[in-house]
Amino acid sequence: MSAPILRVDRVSRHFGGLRALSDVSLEIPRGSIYALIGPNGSGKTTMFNVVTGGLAPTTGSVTFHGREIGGARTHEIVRLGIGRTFQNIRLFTRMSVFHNVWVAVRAARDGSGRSQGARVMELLELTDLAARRDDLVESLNFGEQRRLEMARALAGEPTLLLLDEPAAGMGGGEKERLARDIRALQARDLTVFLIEHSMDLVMGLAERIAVLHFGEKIAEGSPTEIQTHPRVIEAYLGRARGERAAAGA
Amino acid sequence: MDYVIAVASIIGIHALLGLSVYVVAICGQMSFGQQGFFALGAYTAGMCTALWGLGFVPALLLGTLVAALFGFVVGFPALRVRGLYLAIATFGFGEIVRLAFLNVRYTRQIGDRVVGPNGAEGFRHVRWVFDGGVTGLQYLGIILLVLAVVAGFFAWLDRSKLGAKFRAVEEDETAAAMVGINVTQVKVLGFTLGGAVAGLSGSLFIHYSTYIDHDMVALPLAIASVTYPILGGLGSFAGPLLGTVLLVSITEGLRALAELREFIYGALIIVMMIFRPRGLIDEALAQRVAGWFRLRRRTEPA
Amino acid sequence: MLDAMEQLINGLLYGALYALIGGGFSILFGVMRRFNMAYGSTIMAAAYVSLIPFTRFQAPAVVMVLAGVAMAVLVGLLVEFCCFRFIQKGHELAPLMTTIGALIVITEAIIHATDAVGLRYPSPFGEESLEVGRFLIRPDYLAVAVVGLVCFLVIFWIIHRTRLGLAMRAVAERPEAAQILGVNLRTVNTLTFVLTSALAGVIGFFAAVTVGSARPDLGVFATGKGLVVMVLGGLGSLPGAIAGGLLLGIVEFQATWFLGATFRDIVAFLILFAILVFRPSGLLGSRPH
Repeated sequence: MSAPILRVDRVSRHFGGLRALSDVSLEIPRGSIYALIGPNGSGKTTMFNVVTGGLAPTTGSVTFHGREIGGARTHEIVRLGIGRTFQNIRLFTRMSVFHNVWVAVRAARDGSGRSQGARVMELLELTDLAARRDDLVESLNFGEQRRLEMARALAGEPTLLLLDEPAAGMGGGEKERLARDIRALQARDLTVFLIEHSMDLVMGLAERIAVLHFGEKIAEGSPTEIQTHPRVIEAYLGRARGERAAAGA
Repeated sequence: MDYVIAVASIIGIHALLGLSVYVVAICGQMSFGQQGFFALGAYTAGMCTALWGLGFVPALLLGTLVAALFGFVVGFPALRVRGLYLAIATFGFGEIVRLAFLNVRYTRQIGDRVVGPNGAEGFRHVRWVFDGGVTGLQYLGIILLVLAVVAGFFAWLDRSKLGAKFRAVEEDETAAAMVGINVTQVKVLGFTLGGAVAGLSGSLFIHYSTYIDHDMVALPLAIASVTYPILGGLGSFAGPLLGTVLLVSITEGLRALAELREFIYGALIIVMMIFRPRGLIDEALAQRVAGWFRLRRRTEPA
Repeated sequence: MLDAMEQLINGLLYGALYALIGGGFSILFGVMRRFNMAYGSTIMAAAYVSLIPFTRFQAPAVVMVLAGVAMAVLVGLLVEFCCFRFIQKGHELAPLMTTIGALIVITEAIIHATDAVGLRYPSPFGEESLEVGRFLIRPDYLAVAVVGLVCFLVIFWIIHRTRLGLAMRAVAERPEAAQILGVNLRTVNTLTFVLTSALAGVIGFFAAVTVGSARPDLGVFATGKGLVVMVLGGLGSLPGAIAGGLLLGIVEFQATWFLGATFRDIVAFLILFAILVFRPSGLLGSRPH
């Protein structure tokens, strides 16, 4: 059993009196697809921000490949091998598709010496955007913008990819395609850590799921375990259903 | 003819100043204080040739270097503020430099003249041009040569990855950090480059005019320096060049308008911000033009 | 020692003027989340125009103030129309730059109309200093402080006791939510401009009275002081503007007393710079956007 690629150890994050995260611990196995779910405001994006360095943990530690990264600066964390997409797409709208990815590529890790331009085109081909390479971001439709964000996040050759609600705004067919793409990433040796609201996507895709509620982790396990977990049901659907689930279990 | 040379010289010098605002602006920081670096370059370069007997080129270099150093130093506290507060802080810096030179006295008797920064009287008798027998036309040539070199650097920057990183930081610092860009490094570098170019501009200026005083580096110069890239455009290094050419030639060429210069600049800022906030040469236009060049290269026979 | 105390008191009273300027900036920033850099020129326009009833018709001070207020409201609405209404979203610097442009345009227009000459202002409060206890207080400073107090009371009343004030506070906190609850954003913005412009009219009159003339650098002066007060007191905080204004008045008068008039402006700038670098949120305000 290999060491987890990311370890969140009793992390809390307070904003004055507001406890966005309370004593949360997670271990993300290498090469897995791991999902973080929970009702709105439960602290999921805060968790992402802590992992990527936008926020420092108030207490606790975050280790990546065994290395402490809590409170480190974002660009350093990125260079260690973490990539991220944003819930509300944050592309560089005044640049072309090509430039958006180009600004993110770095010298190849495998030392193969492929030019950066070639690597950009590879990523654009992977995300089906090669034909749009010189177009401005504003001319892309929503799905294309999401794919561009993905290409950009992959440009730094991450080993861990954080996806913040990648299925938001997608219809059924698009979600299937997204699931295929994520599995394809897993096949390329990436670990995927995602936040999602779309339960059908999560349950069908994730290997392990953690549930946050008001900043606390209330459950963790396989999709089946989560779906029948009383506290999870209570958090989403209310106390009555939770109690019924607990009674039935 | 002399008049044309004079206007062209001012255009050249101010174009550098406009570029210095541009380079800081494209990493997301609107600086109202580049005239401070201009002053630092001018006074330093003037002291080099008029007081310390150094050559012209060392004077330019030292003026640029001193201003760049201050740019580097200012770049750090500038990280803590943005938008309006940065505008105030940079203008404050410009004012502090101006007020400092208003109070500095460092003169020496050379021949029959008192030479050197002399408080409210300014810094007169920077006579390198006369002592060296350089004509107006020749000095214009020097200005244009320097401008060409600097413009060439900016042309490279616009197409380089560093330039792309600058623009990424301007648009979205969080996303930029998330793609591995060291935002601090970029912004401080921007201020350093801006300081250097403004200092170079000032160094050229003082030898052109033989004179500088604190009044010349006050609010009107701040406004002008900012208007050049706002009008001309932030999409390419050609923007501030265009803005400078348009504004200076119009206000110098039409003498009657010279009095209304600030009024015109103010009105232009309002109009541009409403109708074309990124200026005449904005990113979309710049990319379209770049596209034409790419197309031509691709269709050229191998 | 006596003189220093006297300077302190005069500084405090004069600081009321700064507090008013900062207050005007703050209210507008609080509601519109944007900084109106043209406010100083609105004040300046009011100062010049309020002179007209006096020079033409020997009108009393009240009429002068009303004329100034009318002009200020006009200018303010013009600024709102040109600089705020049509700004495209997504360009954060654009509103700032347009109001800077407006500041320049209005200031230059006035300078050209008056040939850059300062115009003498009457002193409706008498020339002699009042004797209050052992101190000599300038009557116009006292008038500024009293009027300032009244203005702030009126403003507080409007903000906390009227529907408009409620709408303003709602928009200041959550513009989208306020809109959903039926607040007409445009109306609130316009009325906020009217309110702060009216205030500018009052400020213009008193600024010119205390200086003794309506001067071409009044716009820059008011803008500079307003910025320092805002930064001192914190962006958008009205109590902060009051505290900041009074503090600036005291500090400036003490600096003038101990160091001479030339250092007065340097002191203000150094304070500004220091606060921006070390404590951008000001003494009482919230983090700037």
